[in-house]
Amino acid sequence: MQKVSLFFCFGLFFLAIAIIAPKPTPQRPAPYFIENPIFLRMLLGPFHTLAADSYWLRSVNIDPQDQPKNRDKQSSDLFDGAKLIQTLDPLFELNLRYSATYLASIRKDVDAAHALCDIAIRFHPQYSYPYILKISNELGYRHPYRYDKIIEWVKLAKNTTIDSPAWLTDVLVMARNKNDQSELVLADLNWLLGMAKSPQEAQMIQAKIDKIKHAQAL
Amino acid sequence: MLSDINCIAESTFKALLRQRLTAFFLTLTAIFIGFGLLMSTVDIGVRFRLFENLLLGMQTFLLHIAGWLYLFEMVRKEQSLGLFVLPLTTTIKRSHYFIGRFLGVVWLMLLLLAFFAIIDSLLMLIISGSVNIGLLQQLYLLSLSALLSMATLYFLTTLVSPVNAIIYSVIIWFIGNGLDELLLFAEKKLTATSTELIRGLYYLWPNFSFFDKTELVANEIGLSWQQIAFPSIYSLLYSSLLLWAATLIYQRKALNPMAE
Repeated sequence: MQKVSLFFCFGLFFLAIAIIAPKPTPQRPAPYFIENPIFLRMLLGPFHTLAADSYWLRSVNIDPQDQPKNRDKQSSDLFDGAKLIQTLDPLFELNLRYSATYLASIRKDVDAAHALCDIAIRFHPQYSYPYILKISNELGYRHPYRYDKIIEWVKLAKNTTIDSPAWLTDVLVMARNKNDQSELVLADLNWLLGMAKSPQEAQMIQAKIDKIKHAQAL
Repeated sequence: MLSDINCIAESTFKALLRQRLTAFFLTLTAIFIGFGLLMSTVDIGVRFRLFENLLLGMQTFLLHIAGWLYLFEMVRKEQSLGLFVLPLTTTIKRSHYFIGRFLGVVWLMLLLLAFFAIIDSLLMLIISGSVNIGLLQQLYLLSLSALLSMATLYFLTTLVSPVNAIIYSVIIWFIGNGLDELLLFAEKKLTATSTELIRGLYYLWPNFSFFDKTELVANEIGLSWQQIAFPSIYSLLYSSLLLWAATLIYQRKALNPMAE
């Protein structure tokens, strides 16, 4: 008898809970504002890439057309979400390329795009693609371009150990020429000649040096 | 000497394998893998990324929880059943007994690791058609992380009660995992003195962030041999040092819990 009444009471309890308990709301509040995502990463331990995946899935909820809440802080749902995902998985190239390009091109917020690339660089400085993304965003979406910055990033990208493409040399020469620093081009090229990884690359750089010297002689 | 340790390790291994905990872990593994298979159809831009991350995450969880719980169960049973007076009644040395018990749990973890590695390879072969070697390497590194945290727990059980030891070792594991991010944060935001303090902690504390290469694995960048060799040496050396210290404490410990 006692058992039956216990089951009955449990049944009543669950029924009451099912009626009273608050239902999950279909529209979640803005999920993405975390001031310092690095602390979340600290707590997550080896599960941070899994968390990055789940945030990437939840980012479907973000409306890319939302306006920045505060222009000075570059704070918007899109930027916050991208920053969070990028911190949790700094090598998540898909997120970096999509978000940085979106911020720079459609939002016209090139600084926010650079801030995202900086997160990837901070965790893994040995890869060149965040620098290249920075250079292309700067060249593509900011007027006028900041050539000093481009020169700095090209040099940093050339110093990386993994996949720095050969055409970065051309970008460097172009940025110096546009910046009226043609006398520094030779110094840069000599520096690059010392760093050349293959004889073909060295030959190409030597040809450029000869061309500039020839132009100066004229 | 080796045969003593071997014998105790084997008996511990068999006794632990027969426990209810093993059935619990097998059920959890089956549930997790079923969940992973359900989610494997979700394509988040990079194919099989979510599936591989889920596999890794679940197995990280299981490896660490299994290490802690088996060790905890072993020490608790030893203390509650009074098995710890066993070395007094036989000719086995206390240190051999102590090390043998730990090695029994390590064998169990090796069995679990082999089980996971086989399941992962099979699942990846069936679902994606090729085996991501990085995932297996990361699994190996995570088992080394579990080994280090087990050694921490075993060391702590000689100082405090098993329940306290498990709580402390979980806290140590959490702090050890966040140390690399903490150092990065300190270098950017904190003063030079605090940064140096955190740097000291980074090298002295059991640093579990050395074993975390998940972002390389998730983005299908292979691990170099240095990235595997360093954590292996670190984990083995640190665990053996901890085990040595624990053995020294255990040899001088009063085995009667009422005496403490």
